[in-house]
Amino acid sequence: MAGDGYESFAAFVAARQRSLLRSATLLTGDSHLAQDLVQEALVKLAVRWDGVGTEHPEAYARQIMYRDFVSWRRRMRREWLGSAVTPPPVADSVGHSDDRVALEAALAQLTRKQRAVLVLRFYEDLSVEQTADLLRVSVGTVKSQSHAALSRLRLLAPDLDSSASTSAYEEASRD
Amino acid sequence: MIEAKLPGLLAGIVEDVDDVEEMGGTPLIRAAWTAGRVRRRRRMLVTVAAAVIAAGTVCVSAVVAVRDVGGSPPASRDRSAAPSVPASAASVTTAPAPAGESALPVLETPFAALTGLPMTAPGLSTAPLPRVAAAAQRPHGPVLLLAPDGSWRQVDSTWMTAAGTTVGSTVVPVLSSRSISPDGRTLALTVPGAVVLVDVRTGKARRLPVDGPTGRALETASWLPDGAHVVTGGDAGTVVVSTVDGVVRPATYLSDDVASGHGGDPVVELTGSTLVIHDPGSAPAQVPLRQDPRIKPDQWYGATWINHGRIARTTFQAGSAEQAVVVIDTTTGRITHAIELTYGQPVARSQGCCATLGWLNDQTVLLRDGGQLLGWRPATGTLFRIARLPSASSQDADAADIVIAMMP
Repeated sequence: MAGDGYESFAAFVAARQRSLLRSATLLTGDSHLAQDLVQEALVKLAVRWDGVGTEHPEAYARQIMYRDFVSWRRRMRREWLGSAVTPPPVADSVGHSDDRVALEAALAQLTRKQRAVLVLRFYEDLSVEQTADLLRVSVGTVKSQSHAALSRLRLLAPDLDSSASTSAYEEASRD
Repeated sequence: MIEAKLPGLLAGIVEDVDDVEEMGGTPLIRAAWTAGRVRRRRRMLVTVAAAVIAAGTVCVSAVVAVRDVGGSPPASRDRSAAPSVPASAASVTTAPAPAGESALPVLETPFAALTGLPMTAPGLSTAPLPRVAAAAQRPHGPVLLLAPDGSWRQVDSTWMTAAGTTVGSTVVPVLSSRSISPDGRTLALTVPGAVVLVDVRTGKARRLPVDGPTGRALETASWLPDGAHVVTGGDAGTVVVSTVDGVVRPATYLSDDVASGHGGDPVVELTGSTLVIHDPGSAPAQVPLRQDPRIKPDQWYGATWINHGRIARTTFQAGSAEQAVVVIDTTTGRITHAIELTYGQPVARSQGCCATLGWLNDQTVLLRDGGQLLGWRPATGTLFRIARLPSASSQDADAADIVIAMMP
């Protein structure tokens, strides 16, 4: 019933769904919104699968996802389900470092574009130029947004900028 | 330096997002693929139609140009003679037959616990809750509350009659589909002649008399989006009860027609083919529903729900064995999305099977299809399974079905 191309599409999604969902979770800060974001990207990918399926489907899916996130018109406030059922950051922090909890709270205070730039630069490890290309903005915009986002993080979570504190990542790296 | 820490911290935030089945696995992949191909076909059709229209425009322009060259006066533009193009048709999805719903992807929510609805639960007065996610009531049974953590409570509050007699232990309060306040902290139940407000954080109840001493049964109790008023009906017709001071005033709308939802939306009434916006301090504004080439509401069914200017409600359609849950933009009156739920044979779905139970969040509408609680995402047309709802107690086989209330 699925038709031509479905098998390759399904194989791609099965392989990359987790990665896309992780990026979307960082963008939205909400598991349900993240699923929506990924799902919409997958639907759009399916529309263009004949053209992009054999080339760079993941790049295309990420491009859709990030651009959709930045341009989402509807208010993306945390809905009651997100706040009441999904454990809030504090409740979710059992066993996690204070830094991580502080970062989650601070990320929620950033604009969508700032958040997208941070995730692309520091999670996806893209260059300034690659980030600008993906978001269809200028290199200068990426730099200014990145600078503003980092400044805001320092303000909202000053402990993150302290050399005395140790991140979970660094702890894990030493193990 | 914060830049040095960010990669590790960001990775740590999503380290638990590791279940590829979380989004529904294979059924979701198939749903995305199908939705994408449907969208692709539509685009191709639109492209073809646009090409035809463009070609027609070029021909007409050429004719007019030739006439202009010939010195003839330009033809008058009669807008009424222009072809009617349905430029704003609703995006329509068709639900599978009930037998096929088991193949739908699963949406993880706490409502899955509704499948195991208990007969009784610990009393709310001894084990209060910060808020409630859903409530259910078997015919003549206690009002059971589902907490966000999946645990259950039972309303065990007592309240007084107008004469001061405690009746909470003998009179069963009635749950409505919109009994839960927008903040999830207060239940509005009905007892003969009064609305009873139960604070789930304390388990304490407050009785608001509606019909004076007559003590007759009331209609359902439905919260308005402001979280301060409840609509119900009694001897004097539909009334609005202030939960702040208990003042009762007559309403101009029916309980089912007025929308419940989150705070921030005005009072909106959906009646017939009109939306009525009741903004405080101004006369009600009417927004006529736009005609849609496919979705033709004939009769509204069940409760009305609003979310950021979008109404969701079930309708029976004129001239077909279709019922649909529709989403309407209250600003334009346009039906933007619909999911059709065909009833009768051979799909084995009954008319009136499918009530709209509210908005789960900005993206998802909750609906009930017989014994299934489903989630529908209008933007993508995706349908999810949420929970198999329990049937009524065998001791009450002839009684009405279980009432389910969701936090709006």
